[in-house]
This record gives sequence, C-alpha cells and structure tokens, in this order.
Amino acid sequence: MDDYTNPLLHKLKWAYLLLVVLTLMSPVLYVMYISFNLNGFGRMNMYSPGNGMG
Amino acid sequence: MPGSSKSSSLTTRLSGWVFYIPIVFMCVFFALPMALTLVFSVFERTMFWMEPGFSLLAYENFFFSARLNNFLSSMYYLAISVAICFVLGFPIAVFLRRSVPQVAQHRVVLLFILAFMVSETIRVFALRPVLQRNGLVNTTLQNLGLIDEPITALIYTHTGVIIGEVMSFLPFIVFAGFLAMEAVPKYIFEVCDDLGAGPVRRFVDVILPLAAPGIFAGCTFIFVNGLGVALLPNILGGAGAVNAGLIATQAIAALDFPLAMAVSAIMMTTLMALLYIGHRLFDLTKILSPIN
Repeated sequence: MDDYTNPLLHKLKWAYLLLVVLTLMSPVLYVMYISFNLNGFGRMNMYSPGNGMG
Repeated sequence: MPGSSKSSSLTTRLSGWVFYIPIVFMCVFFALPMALTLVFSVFERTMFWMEPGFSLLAYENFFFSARLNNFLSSMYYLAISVAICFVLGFPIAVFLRRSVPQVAQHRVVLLFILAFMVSETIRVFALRPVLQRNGLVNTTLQNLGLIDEPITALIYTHTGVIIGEVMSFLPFIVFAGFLAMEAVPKYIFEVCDDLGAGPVRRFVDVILPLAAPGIFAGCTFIFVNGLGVALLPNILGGAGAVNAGLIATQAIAALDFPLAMAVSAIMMTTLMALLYIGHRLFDLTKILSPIN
C-alpha cells in the first residue's frame, strides 16, 4: 500500500480476498457443522422439546 | 589417471542422455496414449471390448446424437464459468501483486491452497448440502425473507455445474494470475497514475496485454479441467448438464469403448486447437520469460 491508496478501499479489498477464501471453504465447513450437530456437540438440541423431533 | 578420465567421459556421455529422459517420458506416457486413443476410436465394437478394424461408427454415434449438443453446451457453460472465475479471481491476483508487500505475497496465495487441503470429491460433494432444496443457501435466503420458495435450479442443472466449477477452479486463476502479474512491474501502476489513466483504461490497455499469456494459460487450465473432470457434472449436474469426461465415462459404463475413445479424441483435438490458437495469439512461451 502506498501513500496515495485509499485505506478504506484497501481494507475492502482484503475483506473481499478473505471472503473468497471463506466461500471456497464454506461447503466443507458446513458439512463439518452438520456432522457435529447430528452426531456431536449439538446432538442434544435435536431432542429438545419443541423442535418437532420428539 | 586413465581410469578417472574414462569414468568422467562416461559421466559426460550419460549426462547428455539424461536430457532425453523427459522426452522418453512424454512419448511413453503422453504421446503414445493419445495416439492409441485415436487408434482405438476407429476400432470395431464387440460385445464387451473392441477388435482391430476401421469403423467410423463411434464418430457417427457422437456427431449424430444428443452427445454433440451436450458437448457443445458444456463448452458454452464452461466458458461462462471461466469468465466468472476470471472476473472474481483475477482482481485478487492484481491486488496481491500491487498492494501486498512482497514478503507476504506468497503467504497470502497460500490461503487459496487451504481449500485444496480437502479432497476434490469431498469438496464437490459438500456442495450438495449447501445448494440443495433445504440447503444452506435456500434456508438462508428464506430466513432473510428474500425468497418464498426454495430455488431448485441451484443443483442438478447447468447452474449447479457452473457453481461447482467456479468453487473448484477459482484458486487456479488466482495462481495463474499471480504468475501472470509478474510481467507487470509495480512501477507500471505508478506510471499509469502519473499519466492519468483510469482503472478501466489501465486494466484494458496495460495490464491485460502484458499479462495475457499467463491469463490465457490459467483460463485454458480451467477449461481443460472443466471439460475433462467427470466428477463435477456427475455430482452436481443433471439431465443435459454433462461434460466430455462424463460422456466418455458413460460410454465406458455402456461398454462402448470406441465411443469413449472417440469422445476423448474429439476432446483432445478441441483442446489442442484451443492451445494452438492461444499460442498464435499470445505466444505462450512468454509465460516463462517475464519482462523486467
């Protein structure tokens, strides 16, 4: 970054770069989230009353 | 000593032959299989295999059926994915080369390798729960109140294949663009600023011509992969949403080996023609010799 670059624009570009990386990772992260919730950490929530699953 | 001179001359002679190893390797593992593909494609089909002969039935089967339409439409949709990859990925490469300090550039590029830490099959398969009817995208959009009904066109259609291709191949355009931008020194941006060229003019008239060989190489890489990888349309595609790789795979499943070979031969010819045109237009040898 040089002295003439708009700092806000520079941050926005970084945000875009990280967003693209996160988007590329998102399917795998989502599958991990599903697996943890069905058989792992969030499992208890599935059987809590009022969620329609008994 | 006579012995040492003898051994040194042997080493010299052997070291001369070492340069032929890549040629031999390419002949045995690249040229020969490609030639065999052409040869097998004109063989005659038998019940479970094929026998030597000359028959153009496989090509007739390809050109006078829905396969040709599918092949052409897959190329059309692939071109769209390449364009999307370029639009989304190339600005990142420009940003990396221009605004990120040189010591950090390669580390930032490494971020895009993170996605490759997971196998391609799993990555593509993981798109199903994201894109399907009750998937992440549809539920999020519904929860936000943007849509009433789930969008079903996101998967098992050409759109699904395009999304899969972009998700799988976007990092490649970043890598290729990053290498291509080596041909655009940082001072060129300053010169453009000094001369009052706007961002569009700078991109179209300066960056694009200088980085063209690298960009073309990246786009061709995506195109070649997108045309050949049967996995993407197999998992994300549906009726009509196939590519050449899947057409060949389906022909093998139907035990029509000459047809599979013919599809491969047509695919290779298309890609070689593409490479030849690209080479004539951009001189691909420039990729290896960036200007300084």
